[in-house]
Amino acid sequence: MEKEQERFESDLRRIAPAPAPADLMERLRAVRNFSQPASRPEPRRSSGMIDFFLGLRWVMAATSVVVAAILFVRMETRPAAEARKSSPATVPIKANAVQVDHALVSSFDAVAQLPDGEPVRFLCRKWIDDVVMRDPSHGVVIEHSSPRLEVIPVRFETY
Amino acid sequence: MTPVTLPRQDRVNGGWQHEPDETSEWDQWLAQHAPKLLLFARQQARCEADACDLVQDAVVESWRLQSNGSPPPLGLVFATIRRRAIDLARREDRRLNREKAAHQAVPQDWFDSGVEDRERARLVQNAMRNLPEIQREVITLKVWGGLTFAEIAEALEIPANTAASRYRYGLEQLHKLTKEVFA
Repeated sequence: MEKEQERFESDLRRIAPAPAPADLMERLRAVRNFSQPASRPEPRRSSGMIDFFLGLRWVMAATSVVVAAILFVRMETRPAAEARKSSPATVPIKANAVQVDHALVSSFDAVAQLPDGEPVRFLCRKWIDDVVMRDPSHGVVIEHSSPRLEVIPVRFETY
Repeated sequence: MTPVTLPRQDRVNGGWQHEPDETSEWDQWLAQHAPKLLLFARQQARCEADACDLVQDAVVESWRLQSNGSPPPLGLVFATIRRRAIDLARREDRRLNREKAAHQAVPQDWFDSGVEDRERARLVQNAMRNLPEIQREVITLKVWGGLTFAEIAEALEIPANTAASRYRYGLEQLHKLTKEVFA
């Protein structure tokens, strides 16, 4: 059985594929002449000076990487070291003591009508908001006052 | 008189000029493998023009992948032909054109033979046409493409065992169909 298969395979191989047409062969030859692989290596240059500069290129690249690494390490360790050395003057202001006060200036009511004629009452209050912030260590006091109008609509009860 | 070999100035201004031995290597490669590639492409395509285009595209694509500029591995070219044939079949407009062309075109001979083998070649071609495609392509790649089962598996993107079993069943079937000529 095995021998019969081998004999049949060799019989089949004896029948050669038909030759490619001449025009296809020409096209395939032209492929070789008119195009080249994208990653084809450049012919090697043998100049000693060029080789030296090519080697130098790698040294420069390695040096820049080392310098970048040193700078990075220094930047990472710098804040802690500087915090230890820094004077009180450079410490930012801390808003530890903050006082907030709301002073009622006036209160009044206003009445208006909705488009459908329904009356609406507005409860109006005028406030002054005071904020005082102190930092005794720096002797800093910051005060800020701002007026505020509060309007609350209240619907009239209808019976 | 002793022949003198003059040095060639092939690389002018950094440009690439092909060495004569490379060109002859390429020509040899083409002469040896183009018929096999075309045989496979003819089975994948439905008209001669598409088959020729498939071979050309696959050779160019495979060759461009070679970093050293040497001829591409045969398995890679077969695989590329198959992939491109599938792409071609997916294009509806090309399919319609191809079917029209297939009706009009004269059937191409897959095999080369002298007068005495012409009948045998025709019978084998007809028998091959009657085989399922999955068996026909494995037989073509093994018998005429000269690929191993591992290479066929890679080209057709199937397991090697599957390639081997398809080959075995296909060969049995082909043997039955051509018994009268190979008795």
